[in-house]
Amino acid sequence: MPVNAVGREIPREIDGRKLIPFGGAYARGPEGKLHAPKIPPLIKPGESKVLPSLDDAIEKAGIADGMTLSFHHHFRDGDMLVNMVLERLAKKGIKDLKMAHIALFPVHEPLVKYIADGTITSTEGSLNGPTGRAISMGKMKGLATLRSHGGRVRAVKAGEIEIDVNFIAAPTADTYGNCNGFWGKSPCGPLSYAMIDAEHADKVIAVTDNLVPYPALPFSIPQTHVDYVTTVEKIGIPEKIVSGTTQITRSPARLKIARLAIQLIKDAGYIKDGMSFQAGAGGVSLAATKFLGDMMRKEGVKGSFAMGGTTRYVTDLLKEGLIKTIFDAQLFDLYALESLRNNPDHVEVSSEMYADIHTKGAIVNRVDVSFLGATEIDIDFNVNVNTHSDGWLLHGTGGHQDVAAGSDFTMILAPSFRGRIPVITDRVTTVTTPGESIDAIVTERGIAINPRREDILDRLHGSPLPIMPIESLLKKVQKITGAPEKPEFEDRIVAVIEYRDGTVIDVLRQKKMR
Amino acid sequence: MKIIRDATAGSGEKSDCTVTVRPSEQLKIDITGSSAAFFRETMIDEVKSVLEELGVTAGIIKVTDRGALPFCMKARVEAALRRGAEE
Repeated sequence: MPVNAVGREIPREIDGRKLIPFGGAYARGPEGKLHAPKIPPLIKPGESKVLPSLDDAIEKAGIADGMTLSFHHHFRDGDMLVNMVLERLAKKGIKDLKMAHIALFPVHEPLVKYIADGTITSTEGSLNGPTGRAISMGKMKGLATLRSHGGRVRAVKAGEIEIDVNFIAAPTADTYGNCNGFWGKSPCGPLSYAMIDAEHADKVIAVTDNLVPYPALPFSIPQTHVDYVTTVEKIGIPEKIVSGTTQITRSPARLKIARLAIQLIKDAGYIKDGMSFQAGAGGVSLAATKFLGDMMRKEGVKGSFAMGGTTRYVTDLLKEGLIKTIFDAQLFDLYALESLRNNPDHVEVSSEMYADIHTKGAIVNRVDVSFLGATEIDIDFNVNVNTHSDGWLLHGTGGHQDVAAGSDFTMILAPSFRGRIPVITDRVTTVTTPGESIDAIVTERGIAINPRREDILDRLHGSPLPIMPIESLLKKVQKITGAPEKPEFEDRIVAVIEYRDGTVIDVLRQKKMR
Repeated sequence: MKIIRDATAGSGEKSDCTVTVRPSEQLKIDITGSSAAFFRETMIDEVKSVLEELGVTAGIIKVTDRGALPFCMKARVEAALRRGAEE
């Protein structure tokens, strides 16, 4: 079996699909032309796009066995549309669907039974929680393909995902299909991840709980892409967009990680006018964002932009003038929504502009520093965010690969162990992001800099920070926790972990049950 | 030391564990919880080291883990044993 650039064996082919082994972050250039959908049918003046119910829309779109459906994930764990649609399709006895959602969450647990009974036979999106577990157990007939946010855009543009019907949960839609996530009773902010699907799908159905007279502004998704508009009682629960925390962590260890990270940015020379960064949600990330603001204020530095994952801590920096712009592809709280609505310097961007490697330059390429998380990190700096250390598929890739490859200084902020389970390990269970894209690992017990970054190591010469080789960090951790037993797997491959360029960085096998 | 009554130590908090001991003719060690998938064998050895230290040869020892580090789990085992043993 061929071995890829991060040392993983990748089969040449699975179920007739040829796999290209990952060769390096920028080893593979694009080929060919962009995929195009069918030319839309004629819509004459006076024709209505509004259909009385979701059932009518499903009927009219002609959903049949074997089709590919897509959904955006802006409501995250508060989404209601995916379950509504799949329940109806299962009732009609439709089989063999390919789910090209962006991401599923614990709320989508009802899909587990549709995976098991063959309603859904393959997936092309992130799997967070119960659906990932079911696929790890081998319950799905076909394969799960995991991609980064940018990688998914690339796959749609390259025609590797051909979407038959795209459902858009639209917080506001007008009668002619213009949609946005800004207004209505269930706002979700940007519709960034729906944009590329709406452009490339054969049929696009906007499902809203706030149908307004023509025209709705802003039109994040324009009328030119939308076939039908229909209404339901409620599309999603905005309060559940944040599945985790909206509060800065109170854990002393995690606060220490955030402080060390900001001091590291400073000592590595990144605190300067015009600096840009990627922010995220989660307790450590929020703390890092806040401390970064404190540092910029103290040093009298004015930044350029922040790429969100947008939270109140980032919008506060914009309000204060510490940064000039927020690019927003996903918001995490209502402060961020207020800012997006009212501040012209806070703008919605497509997932393509955010992260796609096969564009003429994505925003991630312009990011100076980024804070990312990890489930595991190994001595080659490879990061796993897809599987738990025990081998269960439980998380999507998100923007991890894209931001890591794009930003100049990529830091992983993570505790060195969680419970008794080490985060720093000799070899990650699954490779999500290659070590070549990771520049520093910041833990409460020390900082490891990727030896490839001689420039950073030079700049850090004389820094009082606890910088050490990653091997020393591993030893420190294992002394506390002991060395864990490795998870066991069956032979069958259940998921392919794609790199953002479409090559395969790792595969995941069915979990062996004891 | 001999276990003569049921006893418990620890808590269900994160990074802790609950240890229950019960009198029995035989020795039985039962490990469940969050670290079990990674450290079952190691944890059994760690429990055994405490039993040896205190000269306990029989009893049912049940560890329900929520991510306790070794020193913490061993202390909980010792506390449960002392509570369950004769004075």
